[in-house]
Amino acid sequence: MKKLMTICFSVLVFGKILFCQLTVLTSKSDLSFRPEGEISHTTSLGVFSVAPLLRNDISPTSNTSTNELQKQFNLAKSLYDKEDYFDAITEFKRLLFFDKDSTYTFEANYKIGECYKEGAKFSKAILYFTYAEWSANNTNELYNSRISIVRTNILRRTTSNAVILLDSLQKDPRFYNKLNDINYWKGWAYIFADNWEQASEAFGKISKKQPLKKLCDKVISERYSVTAANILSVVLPGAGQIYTGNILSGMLSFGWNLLWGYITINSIVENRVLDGIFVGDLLWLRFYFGNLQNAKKFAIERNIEISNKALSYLQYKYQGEKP
Amino acid sequence: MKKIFFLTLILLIQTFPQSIYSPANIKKFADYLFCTKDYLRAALEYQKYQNISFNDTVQFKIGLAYSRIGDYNFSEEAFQNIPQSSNFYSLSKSEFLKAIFLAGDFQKFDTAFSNSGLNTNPEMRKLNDFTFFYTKKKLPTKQDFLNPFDKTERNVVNKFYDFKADPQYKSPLTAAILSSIIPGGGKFYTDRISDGVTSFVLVGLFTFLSIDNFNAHHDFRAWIFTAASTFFYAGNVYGSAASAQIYNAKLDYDFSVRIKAYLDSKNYFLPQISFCK
Repeated sequence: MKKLMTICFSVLVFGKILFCQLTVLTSKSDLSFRPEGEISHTTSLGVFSVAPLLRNDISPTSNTSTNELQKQFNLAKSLYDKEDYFDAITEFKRLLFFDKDSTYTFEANYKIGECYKEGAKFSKAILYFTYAEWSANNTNELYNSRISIVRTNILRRTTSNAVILLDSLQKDPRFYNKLNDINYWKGWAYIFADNWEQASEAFGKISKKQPLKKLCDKVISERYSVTAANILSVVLPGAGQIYTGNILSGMLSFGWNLLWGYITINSIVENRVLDGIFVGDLLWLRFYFGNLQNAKKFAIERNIEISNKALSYLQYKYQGEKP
Repeated sequence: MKKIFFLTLILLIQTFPQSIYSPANIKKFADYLFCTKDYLRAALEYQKYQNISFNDTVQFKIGLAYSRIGDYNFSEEAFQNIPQSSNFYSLSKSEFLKAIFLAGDFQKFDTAFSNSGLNTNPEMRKLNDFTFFYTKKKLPTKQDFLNPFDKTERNVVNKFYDFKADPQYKSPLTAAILSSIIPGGGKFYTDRISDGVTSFVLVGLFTFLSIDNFNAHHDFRAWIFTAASTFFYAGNVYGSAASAQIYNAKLDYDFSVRIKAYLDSKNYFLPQISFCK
């Protein structure tokens, strides 16, 4: 009996070693593609019967121990913690590939999403957060995946998608206790959509003293009215530019309009109607409409500057949670 | 008893956990990455596998993976490392040439094509013919050029050849001269009819107004109209020369887009290989 056990053990160990070796040796050439007949340069062991296992079957065939999967998860996680996102994605993908029981499906997909997000591959990040959402094991994981999708949409500037998702979360009774959080991210979505009024409203639902509400209100008060700039320039050419702080451009615009207006009127007064029509139509109107466009353009540009200043503050100085 | 013993033994071997990092599993994982189009990671995993055990298929896939992400230097290197004894050898030479072609190094392509031994391969001769469209090399005769192509291909390639032989460019100098003689003439020459009419009317109108104002002794307005007509006239001459350059650039761009679309549709005259189910 002892002899039998010893033989059994030895065969088991050597069998395993032999199996692994043959797996390597027989894979010298993949048999799945044979454009010019049989492959001739394989090793003498190339005809061994385990070779078909190595053909284009890309699902893992061997069982992977729980311990090894745990080690793999730890490895991937440590790479993620070291901010080595490229390798972290590879190792999380390897974990997913060999994790036949789907033990790590949520964590791995979620982390892959995070890695892609860190690398600014937002579309891929959203894809993996969606996979994580599908494999969520509880409400908390489901919520986290969806919020991650929202946050990535905000960064990707597809803010309307973010708002739609947040609205659906808001209506979901499972997340009634997360309303403040939902409003917080809604505020961020509106900030990135350059809609500071609605952002202020969303932050205001959390608290009237919410620091980001104060920031939004400050931006709203600093912004220029595009309509006002336009109307001012309609009434007095150059006034819209001066309103937006572009004094030189405003003065020049005023000067040109004055010159061409004078020549147009003067021509008509001197009975040179044709001259007046052409100067008025081709020169005066050109400068007049140019002045209107400029006033609008400057107001928009100044508003972008104000928004960018606020965004720069949010990026570098704001201490709270960011998308 | 013996039967049960061997059956148990076989089952144990089959179910014995195999390491994630065993060569076979590295390859399986790389295949998975390759088939999910994560080509850079696939190439890196295949390289890990190659460090343990060389496989010509894997080497070929490394080349393909790098080629598909546009990393042609690594792709060329991978295809060059396929041994002569491999089934993939001849195909790898074609893929090697394709990688050089895609990298846009046509001088290198010429040398590689001459040394590849594929000078008589009709598919590679087709690809070689297409290098003439990207370079300033002297075109061979139409008959020689079209020789490797079959009947269906000839229709399209013939048009490409005709364009390359005589691209029907517009001369910026001619356009400028035409516009200086008749305002807007250069724009008509470059098929910008509405621009031509506008130039003609504007220059004509302001010139008339300036002469008329000089005749009526309204010197101030006359000088303003003279300045405006001179400005429009100069703009019309310069604009016509620029219009010819834009016309030519558009021709070249359209030509390159059509060639690229054609080559893509033909997979650069290489067989389509699918390693994935």
